[in-house]
Amino acid sequence: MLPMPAVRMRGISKRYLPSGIHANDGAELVVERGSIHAVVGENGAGKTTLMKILAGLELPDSGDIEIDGKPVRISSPAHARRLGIGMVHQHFLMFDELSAAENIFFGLEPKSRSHILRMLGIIDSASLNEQTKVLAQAYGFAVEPSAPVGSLSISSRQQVEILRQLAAKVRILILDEPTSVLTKQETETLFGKLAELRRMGRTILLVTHKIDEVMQIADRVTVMRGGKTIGTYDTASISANELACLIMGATSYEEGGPHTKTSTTGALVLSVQDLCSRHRHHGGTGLSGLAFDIHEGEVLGICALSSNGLDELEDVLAGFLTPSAGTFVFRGHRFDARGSHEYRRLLKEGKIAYLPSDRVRRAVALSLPVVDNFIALDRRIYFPRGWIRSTLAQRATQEAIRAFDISARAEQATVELSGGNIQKLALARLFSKKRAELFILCEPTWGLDIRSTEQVYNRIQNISDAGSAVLLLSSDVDEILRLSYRIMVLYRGKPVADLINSGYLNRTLIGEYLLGIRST
Amino acid sequence: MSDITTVLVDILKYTIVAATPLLFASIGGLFSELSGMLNIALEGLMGIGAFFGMAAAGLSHNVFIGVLAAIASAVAASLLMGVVILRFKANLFIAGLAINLLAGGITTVLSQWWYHTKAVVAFSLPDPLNAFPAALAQIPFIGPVLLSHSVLTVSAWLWTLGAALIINNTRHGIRIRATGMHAQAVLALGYSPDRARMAALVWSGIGSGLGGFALGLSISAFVPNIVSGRGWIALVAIYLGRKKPLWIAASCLLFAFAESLSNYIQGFSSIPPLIVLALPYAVTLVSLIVAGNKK
Repeated sequence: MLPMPAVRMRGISKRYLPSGIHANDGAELVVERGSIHAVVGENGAGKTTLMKILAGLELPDSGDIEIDGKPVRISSPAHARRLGIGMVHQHFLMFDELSAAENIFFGLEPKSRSHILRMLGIIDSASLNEQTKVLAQAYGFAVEPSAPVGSLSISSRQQVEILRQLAAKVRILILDEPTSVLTKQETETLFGKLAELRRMGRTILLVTHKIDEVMQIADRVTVMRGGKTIGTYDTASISANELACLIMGATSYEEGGPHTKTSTTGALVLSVQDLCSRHRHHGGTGLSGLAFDIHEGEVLGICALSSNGLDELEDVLAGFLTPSAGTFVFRGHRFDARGSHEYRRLLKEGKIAYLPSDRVRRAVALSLPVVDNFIALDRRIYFPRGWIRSTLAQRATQEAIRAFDISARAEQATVELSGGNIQKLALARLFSKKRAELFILCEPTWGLDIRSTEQVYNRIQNISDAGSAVLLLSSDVDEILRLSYRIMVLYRGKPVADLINSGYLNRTLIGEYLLGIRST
Repeated sequence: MSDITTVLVDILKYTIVAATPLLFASIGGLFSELSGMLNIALEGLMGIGAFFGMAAAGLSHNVFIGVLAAIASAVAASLLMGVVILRFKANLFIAGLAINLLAGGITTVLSQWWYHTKAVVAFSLPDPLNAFPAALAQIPFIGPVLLSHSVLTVSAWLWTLGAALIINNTRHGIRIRATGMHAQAVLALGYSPDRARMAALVWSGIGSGLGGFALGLSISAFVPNIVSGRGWIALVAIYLGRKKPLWIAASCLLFAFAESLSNYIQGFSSIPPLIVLALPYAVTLVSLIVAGNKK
C-alpha cells in the first residue's frame, strides 16, 4: 500500500470578485509526507491563492482537500492550525512591539504557577522565555526570547515566524517566497534548517519563483500556470531549463547574459557628495557620508539589505526626505541637498524619472482607471490647456498596454490589477518620459516573474544604451550584478564597497559586503 | 500649620480627588486605544455613567448600586457602539460622535421626565466611605493629602495598577495589544480581532462609567454637561502618557492639578473667572504641544 500523502487537493477553483478572474481553476496538488515540495509559477499563476486555501485564509469555490487521507473543509486559519497546517507569509505577520517569545507563543502563553496569579490569568514570563529557548534549541535556531521583534534583522524575524509555527505543533509548513528578503548566506542557513525539519518528519511546502533554489532544496516540484496545475515532477529527473520552460509555457528558454558594458565615456549627469541623513525609517540606520557620480549611459547599482539605508536613500532622492547634509551637482548646477526644492523641480520637470519601490502606495492611485494613472504625471502632453485630451490619452495607454504586455484594459480600475501588472504600468509611464536624463529605479522587478523581469532588464539596458543615466536601488544581488556597470554596497547606512562590475564579482562576495563581513 | 501649607494641602488633596474621574476614563480608554480604536466616545460614556449611576444611587440610597448602574449603562452604550462599528462596519468616528450626541440627549430628556428639570438634580446620599482609618489623616501633610480619600478614589488607583497588570501580563492584554499592532496577523493566527476589540470597548465602558459616577458623587448631583470636556482630557492623557498606564496616571495628575489650581484661584476676584476656568484646558493644549515637539 502506498503511504498516505500529507496533502491532497483536487479540482480547487477560486474566483475573485468583482473582477471575476480565476485565481485557481481546477488546481491539483499532492504532497508526500516528510518531503520538501516546491510550488512554482509566474506572477498570477495561482500558487499563493492555493496555499492560502490550504492555510484556511481563503475558501475555495469548489474542490476537495484531504489532510493525511481525511477529507476536510478548512474553514479558518484556526481550523488549519488544528489540522497542523501553518503558513509563513511573504510579508511577516508579526507584532513588532511584542517580544520574540510573545510572538512565538501567541495565544499559547504559559500561565503563572502561583494559584492566585493563575486565576487572574497572569502569564509566567520566565517560563515563557525558557520555553522559547528550549524550542529554539530543539530546532537549532538562535533567537533572543525577550527582544522585541521590531528590532530584529529580517532573517531573525523569519526564524521567529517559523518557530511560531513549530510552537503550534505544525506538521505541514508553508513558506511563501521565503528567500526573497535573504542574502545568499542567510538562504543557505534557512535551507539547512528546512532540511533538518524534513529529517524530523515535517512536510514543507515552498512557494517560490527561483528555479535554482527549487533544484537545490526541493524533492518534488509542482508547476502552476494560469490557475491550473501543469504537473508535478521529481527534481532529480528534471533539468532547471526544462522547469523554466514548463513555468513559462515556452518550448525554449534562454536567460540573458550579464551586462558587459565597461566604459563610462558619457558626461557627468549627477554627482552626490557627502550625503547624510539622520532620519531613520523603522528599524533603519540613516545615511552617512554617501558620495557617488553617475554618467550618461551608465548603470550604477546600489545594493543593501533592508534597514541598511536603501529606503532612506530612496526617499532623499525622491524628494520625500530632506537630508541633514549633502550636495547635489546636476549637469554642472550645484545645490545644497537640504534646500531640496531645486532638486524637486528636476523631478517635477521630468529630467529625473523615479520608480518607487512601494508601487501600490507611491506609483498609482488604486481606485482610478489604468488610463488616468498612465497620464497623471504628464501634464503638458495630456492637459495642454488645462483639460484632458482623452483620445490621445486612450491611444497612448493602449499602446503602453500592448508594448509592456500588461493584462488590463485602459478603463479598468487599477486595484483589480496584480502587483506585477501595476509595476509594468508604472514602468510604462516612466519609460514614456522623453526628457528624462536620469532614471532612479527602486526594486524595479520585485515580485515580477521571470518573463516580466527579462522584459524590464531589456528595457533598462535600452534606455542606458540610448544614453540615459540609470541609478538602480535594489536589494536583489543578482539583479545588481546583471545590470550594473558599477556597484555600491551600503551597510548600516555607510558605503562599504564601490566596485566595477567585472568578472570577479559574484553573489557570495557581494553578500559578504552586505552582511558587513567585508569592506574596502 | 502656616497659611501656605494649608493652601498647598487643599490644592494637592483636591488634585487627587479631581484625578479620580480622569484616571478611570483614560485607563478605560487605553484598552480600546491599544486594540486600535481611538475611542472618542469617552465624554459621552462618562455622561451616561454619571446620570444612570446617580439616578440609581439616589433611588436606592446606596452608592454601591450606583456604581453597578454606572458601569452597566456605560458598558451597554459601548457595546452598542461596538456592534455598530464591528458588526455593521460603521465608521469609528461617526459612531463615537453618535454616542456623544446620544449621551447629551438621553440624559437631558430623562432628567426632564424623571426629575422635571433640565438643570441641577441634587441627591442626598450617604457620606462617602473613607478608605483609610481616621487616625491616619492626623499625620501632618501626608495624612490630609494622601490618606483621607474615599474608597472610590483609592479604587481608581487600584484600577490603574490592575489595568497595567492585565495589559502587560495576561493573554487577554497581549491579545488586545496585538490586535492594535497587526489585526491581520491575529486573524491569521486563528484568533478574532473583533472579539479583542469588543472586550476592549467593554473595558472602556467600565472605566468611563466609573469616571462619570465619580464626578456625580463628588458634587452629590447630576448636572447637564457635568463631564464638561473631561472625557476629552482623558483621551489626551492617553497620548501624553504614551499609552503606558503609569505615565497616563501622571498625566491625569497634571490635569487634575490644573483643575484644582483653577478652583483655588477663582477665589481671588482680581483675575477674571473665565480665564481661570480655562486653565485646565490651556494646560491640556500646552502639554500636547510639548509632547508633540518631543517626538
